[in-house]
Amino acid sequence: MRPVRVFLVGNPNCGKTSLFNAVTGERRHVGNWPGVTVDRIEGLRKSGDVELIVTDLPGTYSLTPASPEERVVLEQLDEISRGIILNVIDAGNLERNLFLTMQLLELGLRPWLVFNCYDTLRRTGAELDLEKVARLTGCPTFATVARSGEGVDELCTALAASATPREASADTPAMRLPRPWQTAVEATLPAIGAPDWPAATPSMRLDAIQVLIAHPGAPATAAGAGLDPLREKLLRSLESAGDCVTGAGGLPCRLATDRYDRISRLLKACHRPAETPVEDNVSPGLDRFFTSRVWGLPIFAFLVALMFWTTFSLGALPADAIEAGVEFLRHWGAERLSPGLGRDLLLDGIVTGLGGILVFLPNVLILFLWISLLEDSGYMARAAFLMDRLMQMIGLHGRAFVPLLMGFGCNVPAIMSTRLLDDPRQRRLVTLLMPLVGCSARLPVLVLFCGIFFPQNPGLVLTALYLINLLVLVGVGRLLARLMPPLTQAPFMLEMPPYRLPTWRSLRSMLWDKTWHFLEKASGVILAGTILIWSLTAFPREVPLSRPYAAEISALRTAPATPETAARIADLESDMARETMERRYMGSLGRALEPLVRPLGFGWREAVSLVPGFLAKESIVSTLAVLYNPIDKNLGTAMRREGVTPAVGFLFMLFTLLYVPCLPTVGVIWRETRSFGFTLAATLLPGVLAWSLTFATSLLIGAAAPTRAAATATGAGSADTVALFLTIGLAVWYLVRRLRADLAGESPCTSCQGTSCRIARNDTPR
Amino acid sequence: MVKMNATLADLQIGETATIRDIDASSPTGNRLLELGFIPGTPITAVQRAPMGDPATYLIRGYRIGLRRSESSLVAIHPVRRAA
Repeated sequence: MRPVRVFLVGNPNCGKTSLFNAVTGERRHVGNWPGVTVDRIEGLRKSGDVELIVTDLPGTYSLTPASPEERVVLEQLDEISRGIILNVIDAGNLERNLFLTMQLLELGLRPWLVFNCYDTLRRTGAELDLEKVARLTGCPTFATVARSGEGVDELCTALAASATPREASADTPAMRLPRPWQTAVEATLPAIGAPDWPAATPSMRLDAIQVLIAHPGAPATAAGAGLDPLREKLLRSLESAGDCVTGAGGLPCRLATDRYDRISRLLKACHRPAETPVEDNVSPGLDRFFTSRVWGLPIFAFLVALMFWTTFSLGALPADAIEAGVEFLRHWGAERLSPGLGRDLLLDGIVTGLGGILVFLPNVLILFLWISLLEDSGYMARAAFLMDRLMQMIGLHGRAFVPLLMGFGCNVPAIMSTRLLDDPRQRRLVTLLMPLVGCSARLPVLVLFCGIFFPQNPGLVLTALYLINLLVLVGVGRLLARLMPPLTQAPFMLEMPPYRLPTWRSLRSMLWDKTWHFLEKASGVILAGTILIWSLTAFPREVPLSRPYAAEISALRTAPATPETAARIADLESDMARETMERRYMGSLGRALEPLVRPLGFGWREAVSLVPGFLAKESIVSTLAVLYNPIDKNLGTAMRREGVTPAVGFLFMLFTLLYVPCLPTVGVIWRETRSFGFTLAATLLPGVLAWSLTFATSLLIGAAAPTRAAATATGAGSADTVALFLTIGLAVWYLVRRLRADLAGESPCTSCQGTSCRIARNDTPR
Repeated sequence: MVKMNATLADLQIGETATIRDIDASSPTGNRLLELGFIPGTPITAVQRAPMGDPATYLIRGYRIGLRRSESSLVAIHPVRRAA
């Protein structure tokens, strides 16, 4: 099988990932905002005896990078040039998309030009002569509609049949650098220590161009300094100054103008714009509404409230059916299986635990559906635009809003998407805030507790909790931003893509993916955790009890059956179950952990449930289900009977919302930052914060209604409490210091976040 | 607006102007050039965000949001108000 390497290159949001999915059959995440893909992704397609190895790269407006995701393309330029470059061009926005094409052509590359979203162009009544484009540029041309798959097969066939010619054919000089420029660039090559033009790699050629146009006053590289005569000669040999004002920005402006001149010559020859320019008139209309100065923010707030409210209310509709299903399964199992440890594990452990979280799958899906709708429609970019000013108040860039909103779905991809932020300190700040964003895995706990303890208006309490979550984010963000002000005032340049209706295909595949992911998690981490938790509740088998429950119960059973004896039996049974579990391993573990959360009013069961929550937040619910199962099959009844009040329930929700990032999140923080200290800080900070905030709230609520906490906390002894507070204080002090050092880049760090990177970032043109 | 050194930040919503010059000594200026903000290009101010900043502009058939700090890098020819 012959491998052919294919690279997708193009502007942000031009449909590269859609095309990638259409070619490879993968289901990568697609959104309608610039910057969805932040890293290279590979996929395969077999076509005859050829294997296409397709690489999707982050979108970039130009080969001069402005953010880490854009740098990916530049870093791999030489590798890319050895394969086939598919330059994806949004046919609805030809001029700006062709800028990158011009850059590629200048370097002597021969990209294949794929005009995507071709239906948009056709719909407006415009025409593009693809054959003529091919003739003028010397590049093969294709028209595709990646969303529907139109034109994709033709493209694949051509790819499979291709050899990989690297150099542009010599007879298309019209699209390449004009003679004076070419001469000057060739003369620059030796100055940067590169071989002459034919032998130079594309990245060397690009370096030469960038060094050449760096204006004389810039702190350019050593090589740049000796080039002034060359630059003057170039300026003299260029025709009239045109509109560009010579001076500081002379050469970059001249080059950009020349590139756009070439584009307009190409378009004049091949493109017939619509007779009456039908500008997409839906987007301006919607924008008058969605980004209105008056209504923009209220509409935004309404949408977010609607999102969380429907997540609860619509998600609760199928819950009864799922619960009934689980109940049926339990009954069915209890009747068929012979009593024993195996049955207990299956029914009291696995079915109870997993059944406990399966109920919340609809809620999770609805939340993801909303986030996906916001992304696919193009509203995300508007949200960033609306929120920019508010975000600046907490020291963040408007763009940072997008990762934060995505974080409500799942923290892991959200942290990866922080790469679309230019400023390294901003990225760290958002990464640090991310674990405080209540992701969908925490939703089951919230939905469960809201339903049990606030049956009158669970949706309202849920929305209130998310509001508190937002306030915490604002508060912590402000504080951190004051400690570590951003290094640079990152510019706000954000394209507003046209609104698009999300396709059924993408929604369906998203829902399927999330369902699959949920089940995968449930059958992996959560299942393992549940089994472990159940085992701890089941061993040691024989424990000493305070009174002979079994004998008393059987004595009562022999007595005549009256309502009183039945109630007495039930009480004794649940007392026995409670005491048995308290004396098993789980009870010891609970007692060991309880002091940590006792000041917050939580019992030992809650304390234990927080531990597997570190692996996956859904496990909190499955653990509680297993632990409360002996008390009563209904979790709500069991918790109330064990003295959990609505106030404690509320505190527990608050704590769960914030307390710790899950293991995959810790992993992605480590991979993105490569800093041990930062990862540790990002893991522990939420815990300290959650504890303090919950404790403060418990004092507020507790003053009005003394909770169980007050009763048990007296036993803790004041010395313990003092020690606890001292420890927490020390931890906070250490974390703040550590964070300052880390974010300031003062601590030794092997990754590209340090000072060397900062210099490179400031666009000394490479 | 009859101001000789007018910038894009001064452009009123709904008005269209022609770009005169751009400060390309900064990375932001360079990026704007690459996005098609070159002298002679017409540009329209479309909408301002609720708190007055940023604002969206229409240029070369696409919309882009810019803050005042970016739009003030772009010098425009004095606007002749449409009758």
